[in-house]
Amino acid sequence: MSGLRYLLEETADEAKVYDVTQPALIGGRRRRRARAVAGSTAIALAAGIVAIGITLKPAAAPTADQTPRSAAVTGSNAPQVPPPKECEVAKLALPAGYPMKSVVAAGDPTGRFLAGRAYPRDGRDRLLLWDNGQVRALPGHGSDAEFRAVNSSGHAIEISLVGEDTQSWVYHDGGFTKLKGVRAAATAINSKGVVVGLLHPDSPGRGVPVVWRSYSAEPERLELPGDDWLIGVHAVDDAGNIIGSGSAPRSTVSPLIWSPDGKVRRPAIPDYPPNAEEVHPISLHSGQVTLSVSVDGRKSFHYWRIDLATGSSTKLDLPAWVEHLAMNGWALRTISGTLVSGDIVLKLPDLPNRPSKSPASLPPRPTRPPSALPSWYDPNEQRASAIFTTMSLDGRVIGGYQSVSDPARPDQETEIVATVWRCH
Amino acid sequence: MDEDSFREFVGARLKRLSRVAYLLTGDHHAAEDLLQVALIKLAARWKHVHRESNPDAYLRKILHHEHISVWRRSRYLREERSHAWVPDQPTTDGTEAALRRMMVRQALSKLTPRQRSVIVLRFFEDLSEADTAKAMRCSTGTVKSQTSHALQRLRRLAPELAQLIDSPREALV
Repeated sequence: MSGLRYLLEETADEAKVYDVTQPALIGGRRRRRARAVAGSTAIALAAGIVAIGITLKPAAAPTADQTPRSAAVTGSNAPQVPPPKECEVAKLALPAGYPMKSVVAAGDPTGRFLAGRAYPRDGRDRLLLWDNGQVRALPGHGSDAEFRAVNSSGHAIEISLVGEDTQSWVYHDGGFTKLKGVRAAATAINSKGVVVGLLHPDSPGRGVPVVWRSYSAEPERLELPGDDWLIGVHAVDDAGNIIGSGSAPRSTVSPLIWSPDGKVRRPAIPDYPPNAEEVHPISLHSGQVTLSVSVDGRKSFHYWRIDLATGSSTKLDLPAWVEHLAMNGWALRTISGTLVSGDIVLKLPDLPNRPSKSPASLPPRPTRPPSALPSWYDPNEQRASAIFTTMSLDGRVIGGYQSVSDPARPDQETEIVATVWRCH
Repeated sequence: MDEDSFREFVGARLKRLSRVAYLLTGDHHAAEDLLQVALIKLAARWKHVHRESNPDAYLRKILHHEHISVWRRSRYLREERSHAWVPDQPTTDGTEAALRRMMVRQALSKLTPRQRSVIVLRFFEDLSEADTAKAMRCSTGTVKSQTSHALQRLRRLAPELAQLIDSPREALV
């Protein structure tokens, strides 16, 4: 493997020397002061005033976006309900005796089910499934098992490594069913139990897009848009429409849509950027798909909503880093941890014992040429202190994870914990 | 806090730390941010860490933890994705090394943060599986599986790179 070492060294030669010693010293002083303040909170927490499962309301009312946007969300994405007023945050319950480290990896469209994993490291079951907040630990298969998707019936996709091969299972009705196919990597499931993903039958190389019509069915190959394409399969709706993305050799990536019969088409999108990099559906429901496309090293983002029945597309005016979009128009910006509705921006609250490590407290960095910064970059914007992995279709349930200190072990490292935000 | 010892510690390692941060992020700005956040955490606990533990191991743990769990918040990086085009073969003119670096950067960018960390720790920092597990706060079994996932994915993303990965170092110099 010395070749890889050489390649990494060669690539690392491009690095500059980032002398951030002085900002680190300043930030360290701030952090020590903040921890001293937080210590009193930790004592209160340890005294049992607050326990796991607590919910907090944000300290401040929703604040309006200080930066006017050029226009509100357009087309069918316009908010159909009042904007969110407040969100509450809570750690998700863990099985008794489990260490706190845990994550939420997926959620169902209704917000009832969340799926994730724990890190017991002692052979105990590590897959976690929450049903309205009630947790159940489940055994995984192979090594490094994780849930990747869950539907509104609580049926969850597990992906794991068995030997050198990826395999997938569906958890349903109290047991697991292994999906058929060689090196199956399932990615999504709809409420009717239709699963989509990739097979890697010939090599661990390029995947073949497939659909499993039932948990015991043989995988059916989806049509390819051409020879030698690289394909990703991202989501399937209840009608059986499938959305993905792909690129032909020596061409940029483009969105792909498979109809329920497995036929593929490339949606005609006006103004589709020639330098598109990543295409992702940020919502897919009832034949309506919303795509985000990043351009030029994620320096800018474009959004479209496509009506799969008619093929028509509408360009949406959404801020950068919207990765989840509810059907009522509420949009989640993951980079800032804010829920956006029209011109209203609501900051999702942090858990208690959140270490004061927010990049917002960093000293200002040296000024860089404006051309080097993304168009959406706002140096004064507070960055999210959590990772958000799922939002329900009504926008009211958001799952993810966040780093916290353990009040019982204040001298220890912070740990990530499975977290839910409920907004209304 | 003994700021002089902190400056001395960081100064002696800044170049290497910058290289690690760049490999983890693939971007100068992100690398600078990542390193700054990690060093802030180190500075905040410097008195304790400096006297009672191994600052290098502690800093490595922070750096990779930040990379995995905080800074890489985009779900893009945790999913199967379609792939941007990379050249089929490096050219043989003077841009060969540049093309190779570009291929490595592109391939690394398609890994999950954990996979990227394990590659950097195992094959750039040359750590054992046990030390990698400590840095990533996971089991050696997870290190093995993540390494396997990552190498498999690197070979899949760019078959021409896979050939180079498996070549002896001498063949590339």
